[in-house]
Amino acid sequence: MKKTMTREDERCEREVELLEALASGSSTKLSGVALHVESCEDCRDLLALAGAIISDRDLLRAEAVIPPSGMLWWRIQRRERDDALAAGRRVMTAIQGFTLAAGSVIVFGLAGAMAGGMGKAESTLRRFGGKVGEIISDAAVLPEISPAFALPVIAIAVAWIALAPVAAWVVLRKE
Amino acid sequence: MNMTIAGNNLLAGTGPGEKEEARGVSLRMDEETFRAFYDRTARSVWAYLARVTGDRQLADDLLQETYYRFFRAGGSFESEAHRRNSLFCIASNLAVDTVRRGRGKHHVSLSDDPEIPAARVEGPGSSEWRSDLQRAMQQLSPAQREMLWLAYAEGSSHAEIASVVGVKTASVKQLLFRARKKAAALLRGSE
Repeated sequence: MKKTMTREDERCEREVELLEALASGSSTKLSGVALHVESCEDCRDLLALAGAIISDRDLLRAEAVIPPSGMLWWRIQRRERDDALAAGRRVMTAIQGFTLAAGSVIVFGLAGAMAGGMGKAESTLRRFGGKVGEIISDAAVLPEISPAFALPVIAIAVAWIALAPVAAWVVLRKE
Repeated sequence: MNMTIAGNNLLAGTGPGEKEEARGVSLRMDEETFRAFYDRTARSVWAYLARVTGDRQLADDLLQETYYRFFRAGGSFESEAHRRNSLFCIASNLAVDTVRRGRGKHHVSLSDDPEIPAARVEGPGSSEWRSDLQRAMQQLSPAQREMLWLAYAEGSSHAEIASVVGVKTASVKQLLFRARKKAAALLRGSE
């Protein structure tokens, strides 16, 4: 029995022929290298390994239970849609958060501008919203509003700022 | 010398959705093209995933994830072989990442699976050759399993193996040789 001392650069020159015979499955080609395989350790190992892998491949492919292509296509489309909706929700949440923060500043500013003679509350609100209130007052866009109307106005403004993004999200979600 | 075997007919199956890709235009596949490509390649990909991870159920999960990512990635391909190689790249990354996270440890032995029918293909050597092969493969690293499978089961070239496994093309020859020698020794030890 021929023992072949091999280094990585000294492989049997008939390995390619053996691999092609295995790939083709041709009994003629395989018988052509059979005698050589008996005498070459490397080719014998290659035959055992590559032959086993090829046979295993054929069995695995036959055993595979894979979803139909139509089902997979549908699942991919649905997942893309779900991913897009999730991304949209994240954007809406970010907008809502920003709107609430901005709204809070505006509300305090309005309260500061319209607090009028509310005594202790006036000084507190003016402290928080003083600057913004001055800007709004200077712009003269607000009519003279009595303190009695200030709180309802503030409440409506806060409710609108808080609920508008939520309403938009609900509408978009239904679509 | 490229010590891999000739592969399948990798240029089969062209349709309208593929002509644009043949010209290198970046397009997402339409439904018809995608489904045809899936029908041609799914069993091969599943077999690859099952052998690399050693877990059939995991292969089921990774199969769908592979095609989802492939579809989302889009891209232009010069040929069917190029597209197929890209698919195996994605499958390989998923399989290796999963195995590293430890999900592939509890694999189902193929020889113990009662659903496996009697072998319709004669395997080499003893009647338990499949168990021997599985045990040998499980003792290799994921990269070695990939290289052996791609070289001998899929008939991939060294360049294709390199792109899938993530090594230099010049290194594939040496790495494949080492993997082959190790696997062969393990198989001999099983006899």
